[in-house]
Amino acid sequence: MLNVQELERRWKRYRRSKQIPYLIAGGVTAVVIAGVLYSVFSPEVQQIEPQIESSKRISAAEKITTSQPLSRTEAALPQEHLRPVPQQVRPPMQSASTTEQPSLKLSPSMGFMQEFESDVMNYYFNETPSEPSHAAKTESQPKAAPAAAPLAEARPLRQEPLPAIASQSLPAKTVGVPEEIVLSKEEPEPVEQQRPASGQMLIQREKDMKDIQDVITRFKKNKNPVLSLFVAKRYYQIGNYQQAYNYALITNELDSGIEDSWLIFAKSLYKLEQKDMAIKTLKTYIQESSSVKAKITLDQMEKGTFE
Amino acid sequence: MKKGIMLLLASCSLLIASDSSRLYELYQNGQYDQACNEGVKKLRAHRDDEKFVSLYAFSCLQADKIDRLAIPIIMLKHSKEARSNAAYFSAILLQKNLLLSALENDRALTSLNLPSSDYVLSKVFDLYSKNHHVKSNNVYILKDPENPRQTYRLSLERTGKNAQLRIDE
Repeated sequence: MLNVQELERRWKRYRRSKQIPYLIAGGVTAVVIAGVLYSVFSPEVQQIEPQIESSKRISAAEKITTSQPLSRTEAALPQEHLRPVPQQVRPPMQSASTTEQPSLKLSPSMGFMQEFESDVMNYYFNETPSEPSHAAKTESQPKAAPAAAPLAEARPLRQEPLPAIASQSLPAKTVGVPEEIVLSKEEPEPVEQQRPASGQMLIQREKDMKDIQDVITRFKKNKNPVLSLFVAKRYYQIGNYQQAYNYALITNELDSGIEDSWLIFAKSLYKLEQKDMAIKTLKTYIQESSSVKAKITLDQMEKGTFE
Repeated sequence: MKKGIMLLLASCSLLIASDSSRLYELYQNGQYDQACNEGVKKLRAHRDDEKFVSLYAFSCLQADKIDRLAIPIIMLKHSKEARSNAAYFSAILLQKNLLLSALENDRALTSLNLPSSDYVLSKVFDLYSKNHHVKSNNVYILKDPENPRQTYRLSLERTGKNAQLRIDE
């Protein structure tokens, strides 16, 4: 009688022993594959790959085979691959830049002007009663007026060019105490001293041009040298040195005794990089008039400190 | 001795008050350039007076002397209003420097979304950064889509080695 159970056990053992080589081979193969995969997808390569993939649109297989650093591959790539950044690569960045969010609008806060106004009024009323014009000026303005009002009201004086000429202290700018010296004593270093002239800015507004055009129209009618001098000064102020030169010349032709026309003429020449001509002009004028302002300006130009 | 000190203090306060009133008067008269130039000389004496510093800064802003805003930006920090104004000035100064850099170094500003303001430079910056411009002979002509009649001309003006921003409204 056959022992079936014993036979079955033997058969199973035999079958298992037959399978062992295959299992070993399979295990080794799995280890080899795992090793290969690890070397291929090691962290270093993974870091480089997405960048290259996203920015240059080159197939992953090519990236893996290149052992060059990223910068080299970038340099080697044609320009067309560098430009576009596909949307699906960096969705958050794209959404931040492309969607035009309404930007925050800042506005000046002029509340302090009301306090300032009351302080100044107190000063005038209490300390300087001998200056009625100032008091009247501030008194005439409503106390409860909105703070922005002075800004708008401040302009009208610019529309009256002739008094402005008298009140403008253009010579004082060149003659007076040099601003830099005063600042270097008091200030921790003003910005304009630290920066070169490249940091400056020039804004020409339509209103400025209208002012000048009005005066030019008046000048064309009556050929008053005061008007042409005003135009020359305004052009000089807004940085249009060519026109300032022209109108200073016109003023000088009409009346060669106006000191400011000589000064604006020379200063404009200086700004137009005609330094020698400017110095020559001033020297000529100093010989004729011995003007102190002209001497100071000449001195500044010769030293190169003129601004 | 006491009287002398009192007199000195009184005269100092009078001088400070006169500086403020002078600046205020110049500002009210629209003499912004002069206010800015005189204010800078008195700034140190009034460094704790935020009203004076603010008025000085607004004078310089009106006179288009943007670089002079740098010191008030640092000084204005104690009151809410002063901080608000400091932020306003900072934005304008930043925009000016970014525009200068963009024009000189040929850099794009398209990805920036900075605060705006009513100041002309801010408007120009907004239009430039949103590519609402056409370049013609080194001059950027900017058109405001909200106000098609309004155009600005933005350029760099060079004097020797130096360059400055020029905006024609």
